[in-house]
Amino acid sequence: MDKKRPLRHATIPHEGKKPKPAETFASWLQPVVDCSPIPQFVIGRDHCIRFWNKALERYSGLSAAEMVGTSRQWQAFYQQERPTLADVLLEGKTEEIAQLYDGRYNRSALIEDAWEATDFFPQVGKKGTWLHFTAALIRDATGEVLGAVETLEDITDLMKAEELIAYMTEMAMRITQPVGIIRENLQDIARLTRDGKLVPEEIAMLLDTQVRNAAQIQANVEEFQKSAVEKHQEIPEAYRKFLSG
Amino acid sequence: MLATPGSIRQCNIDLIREIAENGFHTIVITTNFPYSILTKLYQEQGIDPGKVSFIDAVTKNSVGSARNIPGVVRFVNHPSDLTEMGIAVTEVLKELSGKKVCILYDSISTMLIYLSSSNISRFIHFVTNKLRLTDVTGIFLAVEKGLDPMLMTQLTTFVDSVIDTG
Repeated sequence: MDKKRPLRHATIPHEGKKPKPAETFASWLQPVVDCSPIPQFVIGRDHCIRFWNKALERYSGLSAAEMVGTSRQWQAFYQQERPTLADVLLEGKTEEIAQLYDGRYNRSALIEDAWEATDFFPQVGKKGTWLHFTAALIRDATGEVLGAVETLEDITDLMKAEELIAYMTEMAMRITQPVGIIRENLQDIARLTRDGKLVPEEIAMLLDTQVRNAAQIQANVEEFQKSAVEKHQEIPEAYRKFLSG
Repeated sequence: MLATPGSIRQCNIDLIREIAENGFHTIVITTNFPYSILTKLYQEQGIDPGKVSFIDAVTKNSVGSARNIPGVVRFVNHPSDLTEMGIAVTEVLKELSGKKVCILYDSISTMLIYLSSSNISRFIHFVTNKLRLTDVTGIFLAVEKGLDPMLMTQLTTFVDSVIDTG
């Protein structure tokens, strides 16, 4: 124990009972990390794992017993060894963050020396997982770096919702609106025909153009449906056949 | 320029009339109606056909082949052929260099039948850059409420202003 940095004593009320005197900040640390429902790990300056909480054990399938003391934190996310965000921060190589996370990162607005990033991990989960993760340097009272902590959040559902919005928006623009355009064009063609302003060849050309537009819209719908079916393996076979044409 | 579906055609005609009255020659990029019918409609509305030339992405797609008429119309194979369309814009601007020219693109909404919003965004960016370099005015027609917020935001950054006629 470092005598220069005395441990802080925490008092914990227990339903009116007197606080336990032996409880210290250090004795709180493991339970706080372990009981957090957010997967997280802590590494020291040597990049070795100090804490690997229960949530991360369950998430990664890698136990604390096999991970603590090693520098294999990458194994929870990647098939090959590469630095995690916490590793990058420890090295002070924040310029690498842009290369590693391709635009999906930013500095934390709340904590200095903390960064956030989002990435897709194809080998996590059955079909891959979107994770939003934050990493921050841990400093002592003098400002000396002790290590880094990284937390993770599974945002796959959120990303799926955003994908769905993007998909439905594209459908609206490439199907609903174009159908409206065809309707207006046909109305114009009908009006011009009634007014005697078009010769038969011109009527045929205009109608032919609308037929081609309709055919393209149909092809767009089929393409969207096919793409959705390929992406969502959970769609029952009978529906897959129907939607794939 | 945003217009209702029912008024976009008249919007096209009104714009060309105003552009011609201001002494400009209009290049109409049409993805909706063939140039021959647009010419007829313009004439009926008192617009001098000599003040308008076309890049027509409709006729060739419909009849199979069509020969360019210098100074009048340049045909593009298909509305989705952005490469050919880009070349046509470049060459027509070259032909008309020295003249007061305005490009009218009719319409972004029709292009969405054939192209994704990301491809359209890239093409509009290319065209607007070209227009700025050659100091040429350009007007892009679209159906109001027909562009998703992201595409609208992107296009807004490429142009100087957005006019909603609705």
